[in-house]
Amino acid sequence: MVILKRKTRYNVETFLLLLPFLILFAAFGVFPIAYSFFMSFTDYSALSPDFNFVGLKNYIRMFHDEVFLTALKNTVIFVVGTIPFTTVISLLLAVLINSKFLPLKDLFKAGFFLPTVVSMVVISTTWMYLYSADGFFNKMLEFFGMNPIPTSWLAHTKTALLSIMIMDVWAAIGYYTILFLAGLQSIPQQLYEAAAIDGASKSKIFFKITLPLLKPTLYFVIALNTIRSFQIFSEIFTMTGGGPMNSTQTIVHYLYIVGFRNFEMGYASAIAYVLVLIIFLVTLVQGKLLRSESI
Amino acid sequence: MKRILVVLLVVVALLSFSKTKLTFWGFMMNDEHAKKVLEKFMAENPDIEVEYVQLSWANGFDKIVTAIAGGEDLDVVELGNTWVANFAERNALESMDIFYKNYGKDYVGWNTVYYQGSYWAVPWLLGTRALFYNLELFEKAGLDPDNPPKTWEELYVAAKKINELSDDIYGFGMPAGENYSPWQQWFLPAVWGTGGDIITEDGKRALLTSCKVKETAEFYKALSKVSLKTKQADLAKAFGEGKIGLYVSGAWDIDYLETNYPETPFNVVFIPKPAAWYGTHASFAGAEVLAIMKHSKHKKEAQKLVEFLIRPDIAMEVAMIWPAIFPSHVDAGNDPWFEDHPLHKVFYEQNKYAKPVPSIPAWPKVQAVLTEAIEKIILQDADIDTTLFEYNMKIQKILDGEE
Repeated sequence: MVILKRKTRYNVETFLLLLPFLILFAAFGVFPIAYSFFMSFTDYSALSPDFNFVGLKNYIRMFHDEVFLTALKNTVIFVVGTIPFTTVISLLLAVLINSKFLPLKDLFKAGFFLPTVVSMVVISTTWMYLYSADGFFNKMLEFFGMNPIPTSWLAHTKTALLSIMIMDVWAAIGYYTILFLAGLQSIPQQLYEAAAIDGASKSKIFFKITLPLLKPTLYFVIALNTIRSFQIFSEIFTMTGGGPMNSTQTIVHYLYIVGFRNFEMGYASAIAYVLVLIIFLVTLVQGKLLRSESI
Repeated sequence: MKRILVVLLVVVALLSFSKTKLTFWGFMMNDEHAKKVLEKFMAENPDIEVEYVQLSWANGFDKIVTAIAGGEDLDVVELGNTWVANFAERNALESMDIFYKNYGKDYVGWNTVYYQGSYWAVPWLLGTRALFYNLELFEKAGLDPDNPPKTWEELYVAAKKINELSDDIYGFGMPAGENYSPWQQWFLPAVWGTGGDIITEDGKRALLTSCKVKETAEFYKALSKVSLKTKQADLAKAFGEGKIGLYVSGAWDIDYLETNYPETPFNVVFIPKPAAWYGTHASFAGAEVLAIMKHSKHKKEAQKLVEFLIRPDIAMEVAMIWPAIFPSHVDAGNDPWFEDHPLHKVFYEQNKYAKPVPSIPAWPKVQAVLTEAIEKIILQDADIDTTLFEYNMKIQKILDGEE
């Protein structure tokens, strides 16, 4: 009996001590999420406080909404098109920076990491100049005697999304390079020494020791990157506004247009929840695949 | 000591409560200008204190929406005229019919704030677009720089001749790859120039398949073949570098070109009309309008502030911060400032032919679809009949409330 009493008191104390956090978490974490889920079944407009329940209408509407489907397609292209490059390039950079032969390591680390700390809006604005009609890329093409695209790369349906993807890979690799570096440095040095004594080749060491031991980092990088890529917004907002002809429309940007331009917060909430579901499923599958022994 | 402090506190509290505090959110003035202008107002109205918050074009709209949704204390807001119908529809604005009754005759631009039988804001500053052309390229192409194009046909001929000068010189500059400029500068105004429109006046039917829109689209497509098609900012730059013969833009480019490309000789004229015997020089009417929020607690004081801001002398002072838009007062054109700025005067006069977008709440959606249709025609060389038919259905669906 005594033990039970002590245990209850202990629980009450714990609870009381946790209470400030729990209140904050409920108010700023749980409540908005639950409230927007609730809103996704209404026609709430944000400008007026009145709303009606519309049931599943917002969710059904998405499947008929051409722009949403285009946005979904573009987002998938963006995710599938950038993640392999970001991952592989940042892994290679990390290995390079980690190697014994490279001088000025800190300079490289800082250089690659720099885009990560610069605001995406600043990066986007700068790249807009590079992509403009007589910007860097067109000038380079001209220099090599190729027929440059006479307009801004971002004003063309065929090149707009690709341009943003290239920029995004450039901007993202630094952060993941640092993550990989941390992973690489946690691999015990003795393993490499042992392998070297056994006469293993460089590539064999990489594929048999480095890569398998990096798997947790790899999983973390890919999952993080997937979530971030699905949520691409500021690049689109700054550089193209989803155009031309919706060729760069992505889910989060469209969600923003729906909510803040068309004032359909209910529909926007529904889109947000579908995005949550997609990201959840994709990371789940990735987790299953990457944690299995096959890689 | 304590007592003195308490007394002081009470006095301060009383003083601060005796004044009504107004919140004014705007885009045009920066803090320094606002201070100068609003200090005048506060000197005239010692019982009112105005707090000015400057918004940026990049995020101001969202801030206003969030403020309304959050029920924030907001009294007077400067809005873009294309937003008015949407805000009025959702019951966020106070009716300004009383202003129309009192000041209607002295101000122009009321059609930009009219929605469903009422006026929802007061026109403050008006801005429009006109045709820029490069004098040097005109001479090189054997055209008369003193005789700029007045009709679509003359414009096309001039653009074509300039386009033939060299590979990296284009006749006309056509905006593409953006949300607003493709229809603002200048597809939709061109439709208005023919007397047509893309939506019926009651906002119920889409008119993209009408012969007037088709006529415009055909002209526009032909013009696009001799045009540089890119973002508006790129066009201004290209024009400054002497790579474009003609393009349509707002008065802000006068300053931009004179500052950055002083060597490029250019002139500004009215937007061409469809033909000498028919149509008008229609252009896009942008307006900065002043609205009072529905949930404002100080509507009387807010009205005083609006009355003050639209006064011709005050409005002119604000407009001169960035002489691209001009006071909506009918006599503003008589201001001596215009005598030294003939190019700006063209814009002021072009305002007579300027037209606002249809005042329907669904306009943000319609304009997105319209931009897509125009881009499809000029960038992808799509068939006009098929495209107009397809997008007519899309706009009709939006008007029917199905999308």
